[in-house]
Amino acid sequence: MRMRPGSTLIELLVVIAIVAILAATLFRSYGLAENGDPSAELDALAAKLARADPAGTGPIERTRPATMVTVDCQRLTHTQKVAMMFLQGLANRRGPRLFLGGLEPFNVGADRWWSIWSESTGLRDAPLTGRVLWSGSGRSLVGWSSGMRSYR
Amino acid sequence: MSQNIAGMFGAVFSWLPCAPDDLTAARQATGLSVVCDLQGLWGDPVEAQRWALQHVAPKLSTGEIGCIATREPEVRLCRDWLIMRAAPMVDLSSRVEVERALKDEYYARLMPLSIVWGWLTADVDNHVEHASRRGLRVICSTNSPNLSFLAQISPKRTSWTQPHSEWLREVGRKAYVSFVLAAGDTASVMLTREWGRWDEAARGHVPFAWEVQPLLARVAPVVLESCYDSASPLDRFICGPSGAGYAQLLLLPNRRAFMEDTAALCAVCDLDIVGLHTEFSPDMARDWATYFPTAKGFIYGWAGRPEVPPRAVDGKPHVYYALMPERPDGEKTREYYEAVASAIRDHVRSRGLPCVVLVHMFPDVSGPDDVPRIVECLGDIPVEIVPVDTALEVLGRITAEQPHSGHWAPGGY
Repeated sequence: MRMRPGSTLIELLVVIAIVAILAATLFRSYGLAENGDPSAELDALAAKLARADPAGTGPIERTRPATMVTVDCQRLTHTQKVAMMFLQGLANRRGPRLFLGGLEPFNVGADRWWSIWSESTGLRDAPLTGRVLWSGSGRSLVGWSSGMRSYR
Repeated sequence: MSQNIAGMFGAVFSWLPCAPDDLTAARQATGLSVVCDLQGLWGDPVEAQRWALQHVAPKLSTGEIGCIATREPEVRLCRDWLIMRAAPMVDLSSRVEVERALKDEYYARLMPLSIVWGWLTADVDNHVEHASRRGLRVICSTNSPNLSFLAQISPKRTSWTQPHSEWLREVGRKAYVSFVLAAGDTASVMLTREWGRWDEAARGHVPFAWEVQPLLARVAPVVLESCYDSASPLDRFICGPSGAGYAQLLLLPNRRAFMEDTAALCAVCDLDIVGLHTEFSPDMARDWATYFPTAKGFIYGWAGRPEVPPRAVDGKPHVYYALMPERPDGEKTREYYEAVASAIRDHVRSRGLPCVVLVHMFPDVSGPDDVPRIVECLGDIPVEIVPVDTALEVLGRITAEQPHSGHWAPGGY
């Protein structure tokens, strides 16, 4: 597994959008008051939560990934890394889809573990290329599902 | 302040949390709209987390919780796992009364033996003590990358075996020295290739043991499998402290269930030696013998406690580590290794021959590459570097033959 080096914030955000769409985790407006008084906003949030279904936490159904996205996070700030991790968890609810490299400065070499693992399981190196990342040209993100990397 | 709460909202609604500094850029680059801005909604962190307990937590998992010190800015923990599993996320001290009380309410929602992810560095003892009193177990997961990804991958097998040493024909008059890498109770060690120690040149050429968190067999078995599959004949695995999860066992109200679960998971992972960060207690040792009857021995401590003699309880050796090499001031010089070797020689002299010397190595300080250099400095004392299972076997025979003398530290953590 070789990750594309040098992700920028813009690239990161595009990846966020891609995976967010694919994983159906995109921001949506819930009609909450914007810039209103805090107690009204909290009441609205509480009401929305009361109507929400419990978040599913059943057993994990494990698979071998046929497709996955890797993102090199080395150049991201702490908060950007945190956002990526949240995104990763949401995206991975439906299976192993998003792998983040270079999250920890002391541990860049540890990503090799999964390189070795992917080789041992027959997965070939097929990095998400810049071309794929940018082919959606900005905010038009529909159709980016073809940008999901395929190992097979 | 509201980062953890944003994470909990994300878990319930599949919203993507984003820091205020990144929000404008995120909106511009993606066209996604902001559904909710938590800034300014609460007056202080405790108030915010009390609100979240009342309104968000009921929609979340009762099987685990994340304790994320957002006040420690570079700690990212395993947020991907927590949001995937819809675990509550809190930043509450177990030392500050009002925060502890609120944290206790979060803990009260959880099922027995639930996992408390996280490690509040500034408050570790209270953090573990609090969880233990609630019948929960901690997994230190400071900076544990990609857990949500790795947890989703199916392993090739559902149980794993490790190399074992042959039975010794006789115990010679020498010192049996064994090395064990510490911190294996954490998720981060195995997720980070044993902090890089797995790649050291000496691994596979010297007997060396690695602590393992057996709960990974449930959480992310492919991590465990990758480690076992690439082990050399000289690598050994032992169960990291204090069994299946980190806990202060003497405080754990459901100790029997914890020990039985540890035994079950260790059976799956072929682990029969357990590391413990508690002090020895005869009651606890007997419980281990009862609820984990296939265990071959127990190793206590973090840094060395050479003054405490080994002991057998119901035929199982219980022994403290003799030493843990300290972090050098600068480079590791010949003098540094001489000092480590000197500590080993002192231990051998105080014990007499035959004896066992267990050396605990902190992964940030030492690893397999240090072993040959230490051995070079041991001089002419009769010594054999052995795998840890051999060391425990020798110890079992020695302790069975010798009357118990010396005192033990009183029970209690």
